[in-house]
Amino acid sequence: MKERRERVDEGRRRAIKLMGLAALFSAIGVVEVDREAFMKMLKRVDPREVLGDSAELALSSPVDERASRKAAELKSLCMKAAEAICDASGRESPECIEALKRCERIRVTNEPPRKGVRYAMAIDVDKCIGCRRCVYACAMENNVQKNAGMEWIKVLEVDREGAQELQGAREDYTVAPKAGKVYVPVACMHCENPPCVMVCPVRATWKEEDGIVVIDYDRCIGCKYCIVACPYGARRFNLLPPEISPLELNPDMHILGNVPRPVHVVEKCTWCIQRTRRGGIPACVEVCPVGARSFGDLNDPESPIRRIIEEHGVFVLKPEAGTKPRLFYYFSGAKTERKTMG
Amino acid sequence: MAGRGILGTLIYIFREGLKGPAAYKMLLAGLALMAVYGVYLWVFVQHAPVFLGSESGGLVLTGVNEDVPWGLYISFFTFWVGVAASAVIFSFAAYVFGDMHFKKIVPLAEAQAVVALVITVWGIVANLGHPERALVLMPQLANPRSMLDWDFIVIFTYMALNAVAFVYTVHKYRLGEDLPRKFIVPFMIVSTPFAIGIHTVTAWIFHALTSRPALNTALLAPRFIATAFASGPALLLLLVYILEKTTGWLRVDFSVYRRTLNVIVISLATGLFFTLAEFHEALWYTTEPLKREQLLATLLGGGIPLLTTLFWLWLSLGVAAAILGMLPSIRSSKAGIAFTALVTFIAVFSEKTLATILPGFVINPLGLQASYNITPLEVFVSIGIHATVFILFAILVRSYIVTLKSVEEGVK
Repeated sequence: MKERRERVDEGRRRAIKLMGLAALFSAIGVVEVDREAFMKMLKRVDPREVLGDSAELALSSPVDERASRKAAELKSLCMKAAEAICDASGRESPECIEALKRCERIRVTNEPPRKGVRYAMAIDVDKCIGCRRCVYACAMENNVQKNAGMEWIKVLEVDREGAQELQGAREDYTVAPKAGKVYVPVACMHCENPPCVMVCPVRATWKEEDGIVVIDYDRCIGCKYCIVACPYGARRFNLLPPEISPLELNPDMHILGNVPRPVHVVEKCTWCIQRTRRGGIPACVEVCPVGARSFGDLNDPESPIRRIIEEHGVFVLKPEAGTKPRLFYYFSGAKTERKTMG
Repeated sequence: MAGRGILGTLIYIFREGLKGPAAYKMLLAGLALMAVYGVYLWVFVQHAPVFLGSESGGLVLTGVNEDVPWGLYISFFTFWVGVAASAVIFSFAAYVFGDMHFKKIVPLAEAQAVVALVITVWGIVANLGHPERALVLMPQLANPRSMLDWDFIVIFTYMALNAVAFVYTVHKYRLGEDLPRKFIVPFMIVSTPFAIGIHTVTAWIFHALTSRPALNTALLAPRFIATAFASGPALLLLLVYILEKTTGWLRVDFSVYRRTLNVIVISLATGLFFTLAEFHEALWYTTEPLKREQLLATLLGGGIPLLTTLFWLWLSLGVAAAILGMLPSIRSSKAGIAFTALVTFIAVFSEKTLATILPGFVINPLGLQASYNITPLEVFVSIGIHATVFILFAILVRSYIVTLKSVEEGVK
């Protein structure tokens, strides 16, 4: 009796072992056969979400540490400004509640690039009506300073015919869209071969694996060499201490993206790194009322960007500069109606 | 008498340099006043948000903006780096070509190179957003693909070489000895490439940029060197002329004036020719529409009227100085030559400061017109930088002159 039971146990044990091995092999098989799909399924888990603050000590890298320090610092600054608003307009006022809510939500992440992703953006010049809603959305999303009139995106009005390069472009138009004009939004091109990265004397700016060119605001010495080197005029400089009201603050921040910048550093478009690294799309793409902008992964055959390249063909600004931009332009032929004005 | 070692010489230089007649002390005091005001403006106004964490101030108080990120400070950097490079002309004449009359003024040229380089470095620092970060990060030379890192190397090396040469020369003269060949030969071999190097690398900072077609020309470095070899010697000739007038005993041979003038005129003519060639290329037929626009805006005026003024000043005064330098009646007197040097200096000063870098910015890369208005703050900070450095220059020159006097009296 006893022997039989032992034999049965042995059999069970063997069966369990075999099943485990089979599961392991099939898992390896799945990973090997479609590794890329598998990697996409995996989402990086922020240890802080699981473990709470105790994760800080065990798991944080120097940049993570800097991000959490920055968050605390920003929170206290924001609270001070919010208190001022509350004192001015009363505890129960909607401004006070909104300001406090935004300050409470401040979070600075250090989301790394997603594996195997190569971002690109395309703008349909035929569709763009030059409304500058992208400029506004960008400034709000990215905590661009509000006291200097800084904007990351410039929208140029160019003659449809006869313009050489961007000659005769205007950015100070007030009526749009006009007949005979095209509107060319320009921002950081996230070049494959970025001249700004080459000239930076202290390596404060670099290209990440997913194609986004980022700036480390705590390393930038403010020499402005990158501004001089950029063929697209995409970089901006904080000439004065930035001011952002808590009512306009976007609390969802990335340490290399829209975290409020200190004075005297360079900043520029990051393709809304805080959104795109979590699978979202940039604010300008989301807000565009005519759908002129598309954003996606060049490595993904299903992405809109691949379809545009295959169906319409794209061009870039200043190809002779050898920068290989990843912000493409194209003429879809689907023109948004233009009034004859001016 | 300070000790007979090198350290003793250093003490001697500063002790003798600060002594002098009342007029000299007044000059130093005046310079010190300007220096203090300039540095005050820089630390407590322009860079107050960085240094003191205050909520006002910043580079917005200067004329620098996103279309013209480099302004007056960087223009002084380009100009003075050229003046520094030309010290090599004098050491070459004295030590390589063996022209004994030049030997007397070589240390002056070295002192001029050192102080000119101090201005260049300070010009860059004044334009930096975060000098305190640069202090830590720049010496690491983090990015060997950046020309600014290479400029950092060559400028500081050349500055050190000239400082060593100056102090060593004063040291030897003070002890009544001559410079040994063992020093001169290695010094010349090492310092000559660096003299050309500082200015070449500075030009490469500007020219290796596809974003600024007006500067993106291989002729930029040769043009820099040509005008540098006009402005540096011109400044030194002026200094020597003033020293001769004020000391009363210093006599520099006329052949020194004559030969230096030859260098100035030839360099100036070359510089003018390069400018002509540059404009011909852009305006006759160019593949870069932006370059034509930028140079047209320089020539005819665009968003920056000052640039056009300075450019025409360079053309007119440059031609005038070149012609003056060829007239026999001017060439035959020290006063005439000094006057030619003055005109040359003003001409190259107009070109090498703002009229060199602003053509790259006057139309921005997107084809939009830029504007740049120099503010009083910028001017006063620049004056402060220059005043601080001229105090050092006065000390070095005076200590050398005193040494030279004791040497010449010893000979008699």
